[in-house]
Amino acid sequence: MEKSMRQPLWKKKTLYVLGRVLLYFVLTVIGMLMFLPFYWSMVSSVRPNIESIVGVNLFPKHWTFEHYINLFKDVPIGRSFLNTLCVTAMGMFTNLFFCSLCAYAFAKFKFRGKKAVESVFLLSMMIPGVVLIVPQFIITFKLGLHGTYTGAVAPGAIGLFGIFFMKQFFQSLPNDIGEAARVDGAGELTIFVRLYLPIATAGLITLGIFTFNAYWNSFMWPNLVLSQEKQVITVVLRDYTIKYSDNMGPLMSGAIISVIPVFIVYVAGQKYFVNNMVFSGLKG
Amino acid sequence: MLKAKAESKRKKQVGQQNIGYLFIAPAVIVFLIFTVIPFCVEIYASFTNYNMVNRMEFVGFTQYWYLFNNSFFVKSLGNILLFVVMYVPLMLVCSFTVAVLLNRKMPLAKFYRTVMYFPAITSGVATAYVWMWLMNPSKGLFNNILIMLGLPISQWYFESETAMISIVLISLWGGLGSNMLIFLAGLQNIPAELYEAATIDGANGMQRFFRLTVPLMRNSAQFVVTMLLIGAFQLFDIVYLLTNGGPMGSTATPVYCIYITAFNEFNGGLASAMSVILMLIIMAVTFLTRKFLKEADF
Repeated sequence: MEKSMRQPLWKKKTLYVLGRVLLYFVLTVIGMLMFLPFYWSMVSSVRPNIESIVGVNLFPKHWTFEHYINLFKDVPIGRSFLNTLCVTAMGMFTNLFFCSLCAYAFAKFKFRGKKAVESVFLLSMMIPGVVLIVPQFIITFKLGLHGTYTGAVAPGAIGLFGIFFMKQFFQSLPNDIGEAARVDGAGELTIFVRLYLPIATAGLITLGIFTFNAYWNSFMWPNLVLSQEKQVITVVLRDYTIKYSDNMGPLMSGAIISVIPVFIVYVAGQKYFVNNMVFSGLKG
Repeated sequence: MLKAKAESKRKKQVGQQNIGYLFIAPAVIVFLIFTVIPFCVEIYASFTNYNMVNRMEFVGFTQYWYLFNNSFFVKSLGNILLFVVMYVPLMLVCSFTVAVLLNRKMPLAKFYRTVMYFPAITSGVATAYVWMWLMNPSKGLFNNILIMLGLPISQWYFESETAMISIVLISLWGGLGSNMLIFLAGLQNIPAELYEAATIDGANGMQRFFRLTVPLMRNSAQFVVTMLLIGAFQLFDIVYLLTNGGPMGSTATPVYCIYITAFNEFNGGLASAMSVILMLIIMAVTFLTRKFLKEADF
């Protein structure tokens, strides 16, 4: 403090400005490195391949949409987009509704065995999901869910993380909201759906983004269980590379198409999402 | 009167009990079908010669015995260890540094945060294919840049010496955003008064960072390290799509082994034994990190 007080004002100001310039410089370099792969796939998808593979051309010289047209011609990308949307929508509904329902019961009801169930759930979160893939596949097959959207959604339909994430929200809400409605004779499910669920919107949006990303980006499980015509976009893109491994243009356009929805969802919900990272137990 | 009140209270509690069971029932059912039963099946299957079609026959510890003489799986354990040793410390330093840089009120902070987070929400498939073209030895941007600068080119993931390093680079790109966000959340939880007090006491920027920020971020760091380790041991998508475990098995990971053994070689018994071992390794590592990080003095 003493030292800094002895420094003349202009010197302090110069140091501050220099620091800021350096900070922005470093952040811009890192940001550009992070953005480069997206940029490269975007420009590669709208120009002839030759411009992308010879030399370093940062901007397209000739514009073309042939890659997008070829992609739609060669693989059922439109259909798979709708398939992915369907799987994702189902997974989001089951996760948001049933995780909340279970979380609400954990947070607001007293019943025998509650603590035990909660502990078992909490402990099971330590099991790395991917190691159960072989028996999960067998069970999905035995249940006849093989080749169906339900089969693609089922193993993660009610995620344990979602339950504990929503529980924190319901715990922070007062009990008397429900008590008043109970006196008026409202049913328990009505109280949950009409009163508690709407207040937890911020949490639902955050969990919704997590769930959307998880289902939209999933590859291994749909690849195992879904049939050809119900296949999701990630697997269809992989099929494309197997058939036309040396044609980068259409593949880059496919990658762009596949990431647009997650970007839109993230940007739309970003406000809630970032604020709730603090709330989700990911705090310091 | 009093009795009636007690009676109604008891009735209410019974009602609450049943409603409670009803509300948790869907979650419990899905949990039983897709976690508890698979868990038991897996442990049982690891002691059988199950081939994904026929009946299981009990073979004792044969699969486990075979497992440790199976060079493919043993090599994959070595590979994942190499990946973890490179990836986890690098990611920890990078994501923490970026979080510290972004943890201030300044124009464009939100913009930078969004740009850095975008890779984290990109699917493994899109990530793999974009990098496949960036790293292509004869046509990719990276080698074209190296040629332009007159530097020696690299074979990236096509050569066993550099393959795992390439996978680490791609994973760093893909994971930086989410880890940065966790650190950022932790940093924003530190009360500003602490910094003010330290400044008044004469602490300079360096001292404030190492004596205040770093120790206070211990919980965040512990969380990030644990999640990183759990995630790193399950590396699959990128390896499966980009290298198929190659070249010469240098990027085969345990999950890749499990996948190939079960769904290409139809050896369910062996794949289950591999899964059990991987699960034990991940649990042991998680447990040890927690214990070690709790006791370590920062």
